[in-house]
Amino acid sequence: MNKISSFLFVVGALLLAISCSDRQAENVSYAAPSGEGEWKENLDLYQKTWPQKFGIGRQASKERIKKWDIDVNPQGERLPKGEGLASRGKEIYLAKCASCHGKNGHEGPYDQLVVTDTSKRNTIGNYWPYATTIFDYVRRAMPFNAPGSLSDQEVYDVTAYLLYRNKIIEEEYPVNANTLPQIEMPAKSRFVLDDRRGGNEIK
Amino acid sequence: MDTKVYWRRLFKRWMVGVLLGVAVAFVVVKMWNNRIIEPDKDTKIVLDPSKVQGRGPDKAGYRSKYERLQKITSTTAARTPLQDLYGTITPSDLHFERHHAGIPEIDPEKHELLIHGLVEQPLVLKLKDLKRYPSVTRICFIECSGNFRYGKREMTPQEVCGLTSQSEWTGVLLSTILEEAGIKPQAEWFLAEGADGALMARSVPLKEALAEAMIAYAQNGEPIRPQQGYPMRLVIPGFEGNTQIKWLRRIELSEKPFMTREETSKYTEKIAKGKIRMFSLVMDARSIITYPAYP
Repeated sequence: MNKISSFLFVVGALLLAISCSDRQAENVSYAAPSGEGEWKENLDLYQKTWPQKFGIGRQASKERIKKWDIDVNPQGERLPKGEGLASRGKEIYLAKCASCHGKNGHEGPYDQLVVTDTSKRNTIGNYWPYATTIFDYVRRAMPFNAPGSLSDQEVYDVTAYLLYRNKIIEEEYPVNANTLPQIEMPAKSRFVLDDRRGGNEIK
Repeated sequence: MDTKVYWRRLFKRWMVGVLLGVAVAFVVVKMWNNRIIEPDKDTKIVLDPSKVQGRGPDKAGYRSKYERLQKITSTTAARTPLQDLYGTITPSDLHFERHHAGIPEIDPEKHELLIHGLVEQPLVLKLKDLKRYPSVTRICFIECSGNFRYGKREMTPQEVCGLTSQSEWTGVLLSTILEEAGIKPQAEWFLAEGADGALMARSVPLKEALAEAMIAYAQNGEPIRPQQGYPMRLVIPGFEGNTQIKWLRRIELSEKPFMTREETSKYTEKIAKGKIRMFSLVMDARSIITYPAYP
């Protein structure tokens, strides 16, 4: 009798232990969703079933690409024809930009564009590393209430005016596809790539 | 007395009686409908929901009127109410927002994604094309790199760092699409551009993005909401939110970064010795106690 009850007790304890360990295993897999390794492994398995090419979508023609390929990089690639002058740019600036950026480019209410002796705010003159970015951005997104409404000629003129007001070029300096990438911006030498290397360091 | 006058007076009295009766009946019915049902004298329940007919099903759900979950908005951003949320998923309508020219309204039938630059075969994809590629689903946070405010003693978690949210994103891996187009060996970067008024554009290092980035079209089980980039957006796990271009319309592979306004004059940090750090793309760890918290 005693033997039987102790045997039953042991069996019961074992069953309980097994059920507990089962539950624990479930909890673990539930609490820790797929880690980095698992994601990669599963993805590799998935990708093994894929064909070389899916053939979905259509080929983009040269004309189609040209329509949207508007970016201008620091090398000045894809800058359009035309030549900007600060004197012409002033007219456009006062009509279409001054209400947000101020008559002189530093009174706001929105982003200050022109560097001043008294303000430490980031402006084209003290913070922008590439002159080509002015052309790219103005053509892309300005004026705020009518983005993309300026002609390439107007963008060139406004770019020239902003560079002139920041004392980077002379008033008569012609801004075009050739000269714009060559303009050295005062802030250029301050820019460095991300040098964070992880760990406990806080910068 | 004139019989005519007599009848008129009688009629007036009768009318007054009827009107009074109707008024009394109305008030009684009203009171009866609004009567307090107290199923248990120990509780303070004034109306027992188990004793009234409930509302029928709706075509879309809604939050309890007793819960006030709201974003804090400014002209260009909206902050997630971190202190009011549970678990790890941000409800899609409470996901933080940050946009540079407002939220565009895009018809997916007219929207196209152009893949070009240093690829073997430039491609144009529509939303329905994208959905035919093998999909992946993954839970990722997105955080705006400008996500930290301080300066007041009394601030809610939402005010301190409400520009972070987490969703389950579904879409196609960027690598799937770029391999379909064929990546040329000299490609090191790509430009991602949105279809909003700002034509938001960022340069992203190709190698890092190829590991995990996806072009997502769904968020928490439904099409991505307009605020989050409908019909498609870039999701790059762990990268600063600004690079995860919403309303994605163009990807151009290149040798060098494009130096757009958003990666030079914005989204850069002043560090020691007068230097300015750029392309600090990986978000550092950040934590905040959301409960208990002010107020």
